[in-house]
Amino acid sequence: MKDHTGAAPKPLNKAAKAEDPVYAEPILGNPVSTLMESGVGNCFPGLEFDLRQLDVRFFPGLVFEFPGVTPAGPDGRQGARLVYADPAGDPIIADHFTADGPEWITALKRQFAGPEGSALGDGTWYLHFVEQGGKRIMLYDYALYQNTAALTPYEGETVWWIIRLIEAEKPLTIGLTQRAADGSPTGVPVVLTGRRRQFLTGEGMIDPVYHPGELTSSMCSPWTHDFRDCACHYWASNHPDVVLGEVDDPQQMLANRTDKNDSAQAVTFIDWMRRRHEPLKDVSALTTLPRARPDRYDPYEINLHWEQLDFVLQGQEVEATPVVPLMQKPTKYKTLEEMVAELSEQLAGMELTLALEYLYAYFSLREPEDVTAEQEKAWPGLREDLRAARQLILSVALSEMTHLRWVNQVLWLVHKAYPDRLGAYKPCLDAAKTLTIPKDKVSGRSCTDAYDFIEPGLEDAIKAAEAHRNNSDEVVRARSLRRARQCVLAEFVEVERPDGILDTEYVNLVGLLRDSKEPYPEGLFQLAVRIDSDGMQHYQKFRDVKRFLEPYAKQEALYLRPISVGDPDDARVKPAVDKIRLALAALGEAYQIEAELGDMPTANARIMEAREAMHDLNTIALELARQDIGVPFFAAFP
Amino acid sequence: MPDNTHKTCSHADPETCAPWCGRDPKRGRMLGIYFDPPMAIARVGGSKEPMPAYRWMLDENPARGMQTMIKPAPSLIETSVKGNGHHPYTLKVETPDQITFKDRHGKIKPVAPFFELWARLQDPDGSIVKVPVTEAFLQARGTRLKHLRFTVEAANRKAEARTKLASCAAIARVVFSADSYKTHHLDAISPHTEGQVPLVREDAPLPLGKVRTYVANQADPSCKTRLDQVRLRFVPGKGDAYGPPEAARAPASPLPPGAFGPAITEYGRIHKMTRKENRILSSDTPWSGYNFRTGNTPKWPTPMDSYDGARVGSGNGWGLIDDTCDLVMTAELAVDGMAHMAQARTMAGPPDFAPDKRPMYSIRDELEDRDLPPSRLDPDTTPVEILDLFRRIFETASLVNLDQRRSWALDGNSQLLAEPDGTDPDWDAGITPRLGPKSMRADDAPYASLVPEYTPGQGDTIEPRSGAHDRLPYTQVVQQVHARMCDSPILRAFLVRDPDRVRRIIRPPFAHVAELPKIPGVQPDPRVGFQGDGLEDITFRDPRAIRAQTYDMRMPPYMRHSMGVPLSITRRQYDQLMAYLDKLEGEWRHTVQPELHVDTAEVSS
Repeated sequence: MKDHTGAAPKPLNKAAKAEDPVYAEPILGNPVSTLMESGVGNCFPGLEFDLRQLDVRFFPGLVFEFPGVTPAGPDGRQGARLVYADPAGDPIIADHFTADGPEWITALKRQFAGPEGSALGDGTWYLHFVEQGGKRIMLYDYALYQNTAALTPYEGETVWWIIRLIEAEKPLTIGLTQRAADGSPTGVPVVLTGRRRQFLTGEGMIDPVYHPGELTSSMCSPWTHDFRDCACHYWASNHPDVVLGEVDDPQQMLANRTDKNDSAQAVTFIDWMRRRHEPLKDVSALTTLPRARPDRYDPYEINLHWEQLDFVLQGQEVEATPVVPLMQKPTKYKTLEEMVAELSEQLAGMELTLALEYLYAYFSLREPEDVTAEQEKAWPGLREDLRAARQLILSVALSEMTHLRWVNQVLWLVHKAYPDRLGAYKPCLDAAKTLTIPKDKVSGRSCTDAYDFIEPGLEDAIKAAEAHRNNSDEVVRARSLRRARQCVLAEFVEVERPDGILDTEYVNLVGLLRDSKEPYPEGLFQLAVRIDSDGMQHYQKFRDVKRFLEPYAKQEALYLRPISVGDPDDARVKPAVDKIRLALAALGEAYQIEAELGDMPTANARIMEAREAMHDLNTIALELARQDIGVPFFAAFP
Repeated sequence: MPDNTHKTCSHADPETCAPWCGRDPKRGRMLGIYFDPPMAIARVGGSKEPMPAYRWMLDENPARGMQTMIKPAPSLIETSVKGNGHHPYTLKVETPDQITFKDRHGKIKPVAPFFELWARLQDPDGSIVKVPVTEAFLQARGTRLKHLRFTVEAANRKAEARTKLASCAAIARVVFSADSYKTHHLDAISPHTEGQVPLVREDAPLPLGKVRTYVANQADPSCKTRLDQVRLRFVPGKGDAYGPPEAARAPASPLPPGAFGPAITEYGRIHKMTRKENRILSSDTPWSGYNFRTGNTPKWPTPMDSYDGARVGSGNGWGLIDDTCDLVMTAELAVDGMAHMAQARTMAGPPDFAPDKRPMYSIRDELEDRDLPPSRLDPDTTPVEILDLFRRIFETASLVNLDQRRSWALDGNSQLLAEPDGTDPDWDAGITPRLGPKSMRADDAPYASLVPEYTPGQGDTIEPRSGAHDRLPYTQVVQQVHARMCDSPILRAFLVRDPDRVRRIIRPPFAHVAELPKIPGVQPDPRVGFQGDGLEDITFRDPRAIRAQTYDMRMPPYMRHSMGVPLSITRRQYDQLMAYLDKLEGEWRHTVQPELHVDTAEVSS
């Protein structure tokens, strides 16, 4: 963005004062979709305009094109072909009588006025080499035949890339030759020295040398041809591949931000380019382009139907932005100390206990490969449902493990910020002995069967938790290891439900951080919001799993293993418990180092160690599950 | 101190008034005029109502996590001065309660950008002040609105670019004074010489949109809204397709994008391709029946099959063009015997259907990569810019069908390398990162790490195993993983803890010319120059190398760059991110977290 005019350089169309330094601001009256920040910069041939067209005039005074080969293959005419030399039409060098610009421009004018310019006025010329920084790059591929090098011109796409890699503001030499019929260069190259064009003027506009219509000339004709038909997707920010369907409450602004009527709402990815009038238009998007093709708009059809495509906000198809203001519950922790106590004494332990309960449920599911051909025939889709349920439950369990880290991260950040009040941070990696769950929505203790493990001897802990409980609609239970039966999944749904117990704790955290004028460490609020928002995902995933496993509920053996919790002292089981201890010990060390901004490679090594232990645990637990033995996860916490 | 003698601003607080507010319009030497913005994107739509203004903002709602959202912004509403709905129009400011993207007929509202005209003045002390060009300003400078001339030239050269004939271009040019408040239609025709058949005839021009300027609204003068400032607005075309009379209905290719069928025509569904009233182009031009295969000669522009008709039957084009264009608007003015000129560009593109999602590789990024020197690292701004990059990465990734992208890319790899059995899990043995079915699976370590853990049911296959409830297994993971990176503490921890992983997993951009080996494969590839153990093999890419064309899981995974090669972030973005990693390991290790001056008093609520 060199200033040719003496005017102050202005970076594109970024307003002088943006409210938020991150977001570019357009001028009054223009939506942000007018900004260059909203357009896609990778082009083949592009969406708003084709930035590759800039390189057609990369060298002042010359106009190139970059022919690619047809299906018939190369014929010697591919590469960068000079369309014409037009020094008179290029404002940089048009006025060849004056010499008041930079020295290189004056020198280039002389070259165009001399024999080089004359030579290029006749015949067909191709770019032969480009040279910058002492590196001359020939635009030919080398092949050896009988110890002789043969030169084959690169096709236009390769040559364009090489030209794209020329740096601005540095001396540049190019050579042009004519070619023999086989594409090999003939004669002595015409050599020009200069610089690559600065594509933007000092005012931030693309150089006026590009005529109106040039920047879009290589785009698809009509534009809808490519919008539907490009052999790839690379514009998802403007032209989504997958979206979530329109829901009654697209921004989830209902009181609890959910819709109970359709449990699949807002969790099914659908193909945005689907034909809107097809009966199957709202089914899950498909995994390959050929499979997706029949349900998408056809070429030609799209020309008259593109306005049926939906706008998408926050991943969901919508008609408009929401009218109501953002909803946030007004609750919050009252003091920093209360927040720290809740996080360290309640939430961290809850996250870990939940992660382990979910993992147990995960291992209780049969593996898709265990389903016999007869079972799959009698229950079509069973294998796929198991595969889906396993991925979804595991992803929530892993996410809870991540939350455990984030809760610790929140703690170490505030401990570091307020050492006098809070003392030193200590990792919180102990599983909660009890969980507080909604009373009326679940079966609680009654949701047990002979296979389940309800940890005994926790009466005191339950009493203590009940004393702490704020809400009479909640009940406290001992931590348990139960198979993924319907009532267990129902409880998981309720635990993760927005407005539920877990969510409320995080809303309190968000509330404190949002409303406080204290200088909390950078990003703490974002971290709190992230944990809270993940809860919605967990809720939706469990709700989904419960729904599609429901058809098998009466024949649990179809999808559940008959696993019972193993004896921690059993030689087959003990290694699993040891791995949990190992993983948590390594995590504790890592968190401590990170909290002190200490030796990060060591912290990372500890975390890798923990992950490795969890991988080993996964292998052992799977093997135990195949023997109908469940891992006694809580045995790792004496 | 601002000279408030001439202040007529309704804005109450002089402290926040613009520097030019109340300034004597005769003061200062006129250096030039310019448009703001110098470039803007217009977006087509069939509605008569233009899209209102909206802004990006950070949504901090705990239900959704930190992400970008849009909010309605002050919009300029056109009002008929005579009250009869016709020109001349003036402007008023309104902020809508919400943005509806389509009108009640289901037509999309076009994005029609405004361009403000400003003057640049120099005061005797050498300082430069930017002042809005208004009628009063022009009069003070000894000229008038009617002597301010606008020239707007718009063109659609898509057919010309293929046929190499200007008689297939559609060009419109209007010239008018700043006091000409009627709507100026950009009705394009094809320039031609005697004997040539114009694609677009004068009696049936192609409507590329319209431009307007506005009567000053003096009712509520404010330096914030400047409703007396000279503005131009470009309203793009409807996004319609136009063709010759023959381009009515035809069978469409039923094949996946990029695939070509045998030269039979009966297999596709038959669709109308143009509205009847839009079949106005000439039939007997080289654009009708244009075929990229003709003569088996190399063609530009690429991709060569980018016109309607290319992928069915013989591949002959139907002769369609659309009403998109790019245009240059010029303002010219004489002051004190000096000519002044301002120019701006706009281009009409498709609607931005996901307006709250921003590209990670935007037009701005591409232009900055081409023209700007490497960015300077600054402890205040660089972390914000890197966080914004990762937010944009999530915004793009959140709408990507990664399952489709992966299967498309891996299938393409086997075709590119002439592997007969692309489903063989080990056809790419010895290559890292993997190019076949093991890409992004456990055997693709150290690149693959989280994805195999999150997708326990997936095997080493090109096409994911997915049933009705799987919800695109890879797509789910990419959303889950990248959403986290939108938060600064999580991103920072990710970058700090294992920077070498970041260095390895991000696909390097192409090398500069000066860095490329003179002869690829003979001289070594240019190393990025990482110091860490095991990172010596990471090199910038070389567009001549076959491996530059193959897709793997390095970030961004399986996405397509210009000219159809795997996408990388720009060199400028890459260098900035890598330099930031170095800083995080070194001198910024402790400084990114702001120093806190903690009040020991109770935390206020």
